[in-house]
Amino acid sequence: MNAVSPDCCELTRRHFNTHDTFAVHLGIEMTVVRPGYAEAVMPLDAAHKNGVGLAHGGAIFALADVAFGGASNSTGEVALGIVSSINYMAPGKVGPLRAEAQELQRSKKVGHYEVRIFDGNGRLLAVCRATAYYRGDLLPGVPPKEQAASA
Amino acid sequence: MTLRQSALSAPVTVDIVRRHVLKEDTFGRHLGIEIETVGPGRCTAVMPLTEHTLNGLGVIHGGALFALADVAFGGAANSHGIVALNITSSINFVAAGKSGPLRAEARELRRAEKLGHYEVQIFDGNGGLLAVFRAAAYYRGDLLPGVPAPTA
Repeated sequence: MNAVSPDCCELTRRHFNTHDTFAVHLGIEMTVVRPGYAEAVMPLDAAHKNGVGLAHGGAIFALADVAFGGASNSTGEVALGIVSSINYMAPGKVGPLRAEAQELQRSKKVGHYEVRIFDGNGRLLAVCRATAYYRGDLLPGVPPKEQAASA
Repeated sequence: MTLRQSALSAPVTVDIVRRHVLKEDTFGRHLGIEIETVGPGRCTAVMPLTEHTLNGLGVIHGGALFALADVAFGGAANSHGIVALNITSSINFVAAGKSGPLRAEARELRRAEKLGHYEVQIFDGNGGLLAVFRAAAYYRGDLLPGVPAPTA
C-alpha cells in the first residue's frame, strides 16, 4: 500500500462529515480515520429505532457502512462498497453506538474490511464484512499521488 | 394444530404488518420509507430519493439501500403474523443508482418453524436493478400486536 499522509486521512474524515448527507442526516460522525482504519459514532435516538424500540438493523448497518467508508477511503482513493454482510448478535439498547472498521486486505482495485459495532457499554452488537472496489479516482481535494510526480 | 400453522391462517392484514414494521419504526419513517403491499411471504416497500439518501459522491448511499431492503424484508418476514427478527443479512450493490423513487421487492425463499430465508431486490426509478439483499429471520414465537391468538 502506498504511504498515506495524516493529512489525507483527515481530509477523508472531513469529507464524510460534510458531504455524506445520509450520514449527517442520521447524526453519524466519523471520529477517527487512520490508514486502513476508521471509527464512527451514532446517537441512539428515536430516529434510529425500530418498531420494538431497539436499534434498527438498517441504522446499525448505516453506521457500519460509514466506518467502512472511512477505512476504505483513508488513502484518498475513491472506494465503492460492492458487497457487505452483517451479523446481528445482540439487541441495541444503549447508545451511543460506535463502529470500528479495519482493513483486512487491500490490493490495487479491491479491498476487504471488517467492522465491529458496539453499544454504549462496549457490548458487541454486530459484525459487518465489506468489500470495496477502487474506481481509480481520488476524493475531491486529495492531491494526486506523489510518486506520479517523481516518476 | 401448532401455533405456526394457525397463525398462518390467521387474518394477518396489510395494516397489521405495516403498523408493526413501520408505524413505530421511527428510523424507517425518518427516511420516508413506506410499505406498499404485503402478501404471504412477500412485501414491497418504497423510499423517495432525497439529498438525505446520497453519499459524498452524489450516489445513493449503500446504507439507505440497505435500510429500504431491511424494511421490505421485515414486511415479508412478519407477514405470517409471527414476530420475526433479522439475524444476518448481506447485500450486493450491482449498480450506482441516481434516480428515484426506490422500490424494494421482498420474497420468501424458505420458511421453517424458527428460521426463514428471504431475498430482496432493489430497483431505481427506471426499474434498473441496484442491489440484491438476502437475510435470515428468526421467529421469536410471539404474534404481532393485533393478530388474534390461535384457537386451540
